[in-house]
Amino acid sequence: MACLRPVHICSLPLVLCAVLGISSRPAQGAEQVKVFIEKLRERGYYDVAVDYMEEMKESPLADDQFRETYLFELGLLLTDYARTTSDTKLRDQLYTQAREKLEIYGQGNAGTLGGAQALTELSNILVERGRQLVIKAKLPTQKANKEALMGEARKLFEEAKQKFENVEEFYKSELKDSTRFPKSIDPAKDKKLFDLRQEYRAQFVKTGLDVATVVYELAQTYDPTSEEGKKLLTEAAGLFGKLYENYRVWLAGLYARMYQGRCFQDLKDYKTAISYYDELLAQPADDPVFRTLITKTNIQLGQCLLAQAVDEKKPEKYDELVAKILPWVTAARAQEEKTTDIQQLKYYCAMAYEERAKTTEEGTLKKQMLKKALELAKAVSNSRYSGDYAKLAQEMVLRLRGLEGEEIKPESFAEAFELGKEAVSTMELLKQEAKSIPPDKTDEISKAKLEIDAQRGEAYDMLKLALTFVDDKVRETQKEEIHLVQYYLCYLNWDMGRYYDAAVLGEFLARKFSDSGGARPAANIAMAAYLQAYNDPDNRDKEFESERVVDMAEFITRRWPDGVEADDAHNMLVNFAIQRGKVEEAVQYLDKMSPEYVNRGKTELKVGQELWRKYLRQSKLEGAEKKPAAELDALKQQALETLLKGIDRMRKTGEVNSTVASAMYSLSQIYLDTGEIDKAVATLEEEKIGPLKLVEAADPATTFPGYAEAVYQLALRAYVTVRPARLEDAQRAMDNLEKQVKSQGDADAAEKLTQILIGLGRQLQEMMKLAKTEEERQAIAGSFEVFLERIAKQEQGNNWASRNWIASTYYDLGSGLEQGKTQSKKSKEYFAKATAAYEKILSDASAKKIEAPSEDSLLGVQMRLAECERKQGDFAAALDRLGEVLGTKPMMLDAQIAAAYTYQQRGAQDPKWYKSAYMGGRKDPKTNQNRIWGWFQLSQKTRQYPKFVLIFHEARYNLALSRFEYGKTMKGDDRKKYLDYAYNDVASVYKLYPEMGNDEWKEKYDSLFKQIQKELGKKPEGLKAIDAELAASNTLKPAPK
Amino acid sequence: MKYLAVLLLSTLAALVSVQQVQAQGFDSVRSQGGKVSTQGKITEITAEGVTVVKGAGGVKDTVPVNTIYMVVFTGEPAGLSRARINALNGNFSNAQEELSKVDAKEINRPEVSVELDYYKAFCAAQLALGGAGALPAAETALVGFVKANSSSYHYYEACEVLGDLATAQKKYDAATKYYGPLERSSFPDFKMKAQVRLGRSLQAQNKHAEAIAKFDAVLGTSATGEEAEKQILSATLGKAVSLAATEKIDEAIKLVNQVIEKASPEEIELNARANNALGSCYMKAGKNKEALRSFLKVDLIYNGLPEAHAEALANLFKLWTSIGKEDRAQEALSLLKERYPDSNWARGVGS
Repeated sequence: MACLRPVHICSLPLVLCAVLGISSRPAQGAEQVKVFIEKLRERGYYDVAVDYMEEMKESPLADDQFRETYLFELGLLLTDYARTTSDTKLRDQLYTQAREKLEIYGQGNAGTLGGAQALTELSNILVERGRQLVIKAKLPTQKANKEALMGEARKLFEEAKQKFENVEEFYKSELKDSTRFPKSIDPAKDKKLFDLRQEYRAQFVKTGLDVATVVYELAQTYDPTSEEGKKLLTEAAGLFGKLYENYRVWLAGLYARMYQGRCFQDLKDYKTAISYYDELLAQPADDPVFRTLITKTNIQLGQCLLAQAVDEKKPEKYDELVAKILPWVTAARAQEEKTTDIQQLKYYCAMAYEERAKTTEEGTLKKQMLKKALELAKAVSNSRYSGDYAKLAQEMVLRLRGLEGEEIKPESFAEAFELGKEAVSTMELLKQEAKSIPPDKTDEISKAKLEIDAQRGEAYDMLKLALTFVDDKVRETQKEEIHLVQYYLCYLNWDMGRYYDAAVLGEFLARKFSDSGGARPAANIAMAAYLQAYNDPDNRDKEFESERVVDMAEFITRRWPDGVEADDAHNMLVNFAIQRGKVEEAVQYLDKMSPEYVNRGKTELKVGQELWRKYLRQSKLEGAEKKPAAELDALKQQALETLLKGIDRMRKTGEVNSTVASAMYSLSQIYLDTGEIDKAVATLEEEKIGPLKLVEAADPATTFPGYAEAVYQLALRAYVTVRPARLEDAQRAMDNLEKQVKSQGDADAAEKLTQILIGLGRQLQEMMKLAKTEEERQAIAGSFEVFLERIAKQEQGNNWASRNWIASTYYDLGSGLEQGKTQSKKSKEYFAKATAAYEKILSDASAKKIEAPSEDSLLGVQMRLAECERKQGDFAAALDRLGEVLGTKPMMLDAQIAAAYTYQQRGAQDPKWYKSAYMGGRKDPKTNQNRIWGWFQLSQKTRQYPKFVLIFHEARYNLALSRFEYGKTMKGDDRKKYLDYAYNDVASVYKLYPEMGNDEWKEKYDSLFKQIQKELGKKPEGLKAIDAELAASNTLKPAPK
Repeated sequence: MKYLAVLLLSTLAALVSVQQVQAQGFDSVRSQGGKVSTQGKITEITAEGVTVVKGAGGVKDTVPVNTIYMVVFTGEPAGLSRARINALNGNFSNAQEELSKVDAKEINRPEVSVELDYYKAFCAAQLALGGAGALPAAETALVGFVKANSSSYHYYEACEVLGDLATAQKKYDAATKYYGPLERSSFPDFKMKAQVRLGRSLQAQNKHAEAIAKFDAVLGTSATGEEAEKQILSATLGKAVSLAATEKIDEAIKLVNQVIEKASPEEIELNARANNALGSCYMKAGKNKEALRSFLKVDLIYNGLPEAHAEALANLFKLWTSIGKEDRAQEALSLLKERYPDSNWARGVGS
């Protein structure tokens, strides 16, 4: 149903402009503010104009007149901007802003002409918004929201009505005020005042029409057959009728009559409506003003007759429509032909022919009717002035050609576009339906998938075909439709997994036509498509995709900086940067996000955790790579602050999810590692989002693997190190940890628990390393020792795992207090305690007091024992023990490595052991082979296996190191010989394996190589020297990376 | 330049005036931006001024060349009149089209033939300066005119344009030579104009300290009058451009704003140059939004000076691209390439 829209009887007249102080001509001045704004408006650069205008308010370049009316002008500018944009989201924002400006201006100028004008404009916005809501509510897709949308529209119309009534009252009182307008004004004497009164009168009548129209619009929010709908239509008819009676000699009065007819038409009183229309159609048809009125009345009449034909089942009404309207259409003047109104009337005639043909028997007459309908529909479809009717006519053309038995093959852009669009809609509906199919109904799912694929293919073909019809005319008249075709194709490509095609098309649309409606979603598709291409596992060189993702996201942030798209794009960039290990970039993008962005909190948590991980990595670096303490502290602080901000934001939202849970864990970890134990405990135990609370409540946010275990481990560390130590809580945490591990039903649960406990010990060791003072370190160790002893004394409940943990923790405590290569008194004590604890494990296991989980577990204890012996300098005992282990299990690589290291360490006492380190020792009497392989054999045995690549490099590195150390103790030729061996050991590895395992090993090799070069009297330039050698010989080059 | 300084005088009004003059059978010398008219019979034309004998009494009045806005000869072809108005309004391509239609054989006054020759050479030069024509050919044509008509009242203006053509071709020594007659003329405002032009030529060579000295020399003169005021504003602007080039952005912005504040809206050239200068300063300061507006003002309001318009369009292309409005960037680029295809600005941007 067409909307009732009063034509503008008069636009803002010059007389009123003068009174309002709104200049209708450009102001002349140093800064031509208004001229510039007008030019920007003409060019369609509304965004620049709005920004400029807002800034000019404060500028000394603007004059007082500008400042006085600026809010009003800005409101109008925003309204125009809203009307021109096809971006619905932006349009909504602009209308809201326009409304705010006009409201403020109206309030500040209440009771003045300026205030009245602002109210009128404001009300127009409200009516426009209301109409949009009504249109939306009537869409089939909005069935569920229909009532809510109608309710919202109603509120807007009611508000508009109130405002229009105030405006009407203003003009009325002004016109009545004899001090303002004397009863008699002689135009010859005071033309200006006379003209002004005329304008006020015109505005008064116009506002009366506005009031009546908004009542009619209110009626549209109800079913026309409902009581409320009927009541409002009757009220509107009354208001229009009154206007007609009072102003029948004015054009406005005649329009009021037409609208009154429309109200009766909606009330299904077709007879009264038609009588009113007929009355208006009798107006003289010579005057262009009346011709417009007649055309518009014909439109109402056409709609009325079409409705009457259906409602009253009177097909002859179609004949009446053609008889009354077609002559007017065919007699239209050339200029009128170029209006949507005339095209609309043609379409009604085509409809009438088509509908009439349905009730006509097969034969010549019917054929003639269909032929005429087709001719008219084609004419509307081909006209560039048809507006919304082009699409309807197009559908009719396709329908009628189908009736004629023609295969529907699109012959124009519009036809192909319509068919393509329809196929896209059908595909989307099918997708919706497919979602409701239960997953077990695989046949149905397959069938739905086939149907979706078919529709997608149809849509794709039609839209591609549409583009082949694009010529200058289409380009000129259907620019927005072309962009829509491009957007649909972009979407379909995405849907089909053709990511490159989607990305290229989306990017083209977003960049070249960024004001078009599809530009924003197209930009998002392009970005997502590049991301998909980046993540494609078959894609090895990801540089291009990476660049495009970033470039596209940055484009979005530049182009729509204030929209949620910009924040979404920044969010994507943060995630992408994290994915690529570029946390600094992630921080930069995070900083660009608006504070109100809904996902900011979560993103801060992610970035905070990444920063923390980076800190942990960097704090472990040694030697040349070791980072300065200040840099590490700054990084830690940054991680802490970012996490705190994110957590604070999430606390406010009350949302609990896995990101929050992880972040709270990381925060506890930071506090623990920075010695702020109280805060760590408080964080772990925080109500609602504390990790311990979440785990204990089995919150779904904590169900991801490993979380609960990690939290209990952290809690254990925190309770042990807090002062005073909370040993009972620690015991409980340990119990929970054990339960947690066992609850997973893992066969190796005990072994796993042991590993966890060992891991815990290591963390404790790290913590002690990070302690800033010796005192702090001792304190941590002391506190922990108390705890360990208490556990050790508890016979009940102590098992293999806990015993193992106690022993390994003593070991770790000892390691943590090592002072370089020498052992402190305290560290020796801990290693002794560890030795005792491990020996006790072995003896208890032997006595069956505790049960070893497996044979390997016993060997593991032996190995740890050997380590303890080595740490205490008892190399012979350690080697005996390791030899024994290797006698049982020669392939046990950990034992082989430990044995080689033991020899190597022993070399410091007597250089001959360096040779054993790489040559091996402890001959097996049965096999006559060395049980301990040494570094050389270790490297030989592991070389072929990719999974042992790092062990291979460990062995090769230590082979070179042992030879180097050995060589250094020699003199003369022997010295050179061993140093050369060492040199070649490194060089050959580099030539064959240029990556040298990983960056860490490469760094070590390089450092060792420099020392070797130095000892050999060469320039200590590291591995670079080998590159130079290779370049010079040009024979054997390192394999490309 | 005076031909750009008078947009306020509408084409229609000017044409009406011309027709009136012709109808009455008088020559007319318009001065002071076209506001004052001296009518009668032109008896002498020199590079320094035009002498008119007025009325039956035969009173002689010599209008100095530095005040002349235009001269209309009785009996001149209508096409020449229209072309002159177009040229004065900066519509050089329209002017050129009108001139091409004038049949030189129908002209029976030698001074009118000189007028026709001048405007042909002048329009070609202006179009070439704006990037719509070859600079060397324009220079050759104008040199030809000057050699043949050294006593034309257009002499000084022709020298000025020749200097501009040489500067645009990076022939700086030649430019200095061409500006020489203005510098040596007896009119203080011409001297000032020469200094401003020489300053711009030095700027083009990146000799900013020397350029500032030239501009300061103009700013230090005590000459008064409308034309002198214009030159002072031009010198202020020139100085600002050099300050900006030497990274004294804040100082430059302050100076340019002073120029904009004082310049009349009808001063197309000055406003265009000032807004371009301001835009460049803002770009250097990283204030792209402000820069965009300055260049938009040139594009939308002060677009009568081709070289300035081309500069603004080239910068708009860059700025729109930088904020992701690539459709608008393309719009600016298309206009630049279409309207000023031979300009350095068009060659320097886009694909």
